[in-house]
Amino acid sequence: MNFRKLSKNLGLEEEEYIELFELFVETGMEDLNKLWFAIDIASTEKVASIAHSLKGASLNMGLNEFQEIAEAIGKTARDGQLEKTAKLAKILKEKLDNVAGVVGC
Amino acid sequence: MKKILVVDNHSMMLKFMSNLLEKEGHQVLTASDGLSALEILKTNIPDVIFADLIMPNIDGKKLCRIVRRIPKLKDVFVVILSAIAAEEEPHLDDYGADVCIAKGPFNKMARHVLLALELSDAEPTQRLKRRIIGRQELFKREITKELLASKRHFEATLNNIAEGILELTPELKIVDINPAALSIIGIPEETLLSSDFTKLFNEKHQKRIIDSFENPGNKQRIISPETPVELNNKQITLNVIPIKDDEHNPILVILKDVTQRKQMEAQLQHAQRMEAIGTLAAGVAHEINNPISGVMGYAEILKDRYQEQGRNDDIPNKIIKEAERIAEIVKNLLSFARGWHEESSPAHIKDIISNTLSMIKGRIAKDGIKLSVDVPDNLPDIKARSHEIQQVFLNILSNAHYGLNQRFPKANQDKSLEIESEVIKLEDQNYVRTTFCDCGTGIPKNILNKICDPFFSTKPPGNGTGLGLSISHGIIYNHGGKLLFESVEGEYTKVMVDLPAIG
Repeated sequence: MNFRKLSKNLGLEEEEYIELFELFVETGMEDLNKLWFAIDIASTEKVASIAHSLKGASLNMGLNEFQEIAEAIGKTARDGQLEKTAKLAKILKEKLDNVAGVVGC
Repeated sequence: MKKILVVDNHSMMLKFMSNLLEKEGHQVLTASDGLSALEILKTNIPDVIFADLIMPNIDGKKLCRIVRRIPKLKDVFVVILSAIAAEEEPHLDDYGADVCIAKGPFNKMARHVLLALELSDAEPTQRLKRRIIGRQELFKREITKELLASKRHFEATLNNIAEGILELTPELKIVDINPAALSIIGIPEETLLSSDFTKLFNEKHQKRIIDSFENPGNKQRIISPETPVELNNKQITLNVIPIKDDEHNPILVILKDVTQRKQMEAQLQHAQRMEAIGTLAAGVAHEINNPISGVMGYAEILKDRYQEQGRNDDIPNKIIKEAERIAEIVKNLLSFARGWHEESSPAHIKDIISNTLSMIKGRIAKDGIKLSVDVPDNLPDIKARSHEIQQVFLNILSNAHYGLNQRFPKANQDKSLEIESEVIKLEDQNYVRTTFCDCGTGIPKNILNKICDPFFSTKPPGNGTGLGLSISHGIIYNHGGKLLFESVEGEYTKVMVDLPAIG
């Protein structure tokens, strides 16, 4: 993660960006747990709603890759392809775990 | 420096907004949902509120509407932070918001937030020029569109359903309420939201309400129509449904107004009771009739014998007189029990009232009662056995006369009796309603449902048999009509006689 570049893009101090990023990861993890639950009970509406929240937060932080995965999660859920949704959720989880390690969450 | 309240359920957004606004030298208060925001607003009046649109426990739209209804907050500048502004133009006037900012990358949002703060200082006409900020910088997002459609369907259902529906937090605070529930409870939405649901009920019912929420687990709890609770003078049933959500665990409460149903059940029970009493009375009356005939016959024989013996004794006459009284009571009982089986014929209510008044007018005038009669000529005819209806009216007028004399033994300007007739419509059938309203002693509330019971009387012994109104009730019932009472003790009594109109 190039925090310097990301924070510069958003006009924020690097320190402040990292502080927000930690909250992004923390909330993202919570959202992912809710997402697994929603996939388990096959609630496509709930999946779409959580994906929407994840996508919004990624957009705020200028994290395009996360934003695209979250968007795909919502789309596959709406199309009833929950297996694909679960795979995408797994990818998102791995990416979040990786960046969590970077900021020490 | 401004005092600014930021309401958003995303901790990252709250942090970003706090950092940005504090750097600009403002005092920042934060809340993670509408319910917490309302708590803060109880003791704080901010200059500006930034509120997210989609939040648990009172969303941004509802929060804005409430803020606008609270007088002390009416001048607060309200800014909606919305991710859905990219999909559709929010109706800011519906929310009562001044400006909407589309959520997006933080650098753009920061610009828009500061621009919104500048607008909060501008004249209202300037504010109107830029009400939705940042929309053009965002791309369309299909997911949001679908979420919005689903939300609208849900809202339309909630707004039009007949049952009252409330959403409560696990602490039983009201966070959502549909129009039907508002109408049942009769308290404005802004007062209800964030208040304790159990406090809506009086002490008598509060324990049952609290019990129905205790350890609900996954089970529904029901307060059934058999034992409803009272709310806003209505009989209410409750269905408490805990929702096992992954985070908020809200509780849904479905309210149903069963007042009318309970009233109908009470009327039916009363009618059944009257029918049972009628059957019993007919049996008893029949059994008494035969021995009474015997008593009167033997008294006549005794009278003849006394005359033959030249005895001047009044006892046989006294026996006959008392036996005749018993026979009269028995006759009344029978007429209550089965009614007369003669044919009905078209009659005009004005004629029946006129004939009745001719019998009692003299007594009414003598006691200084002011009588007013308002019966239009153009009322439709009723199908009736006129002499029976006359008997009912005479009974009602006698009671009114008695009540007026009890309250005003002497002449008084309030000693009045009014008779009015009109056409009313009940369940697609026209009725002629005749109302007798007197300003007499009135009827105590606790006996109002007993006054048609046979032998029930408040008059001293010898002044009434207690059969007048029960017979009247039977007569009106047999005519397919209704006999209704309304009274306030010490003020007035209103007796309404509804009879089906012809045509």
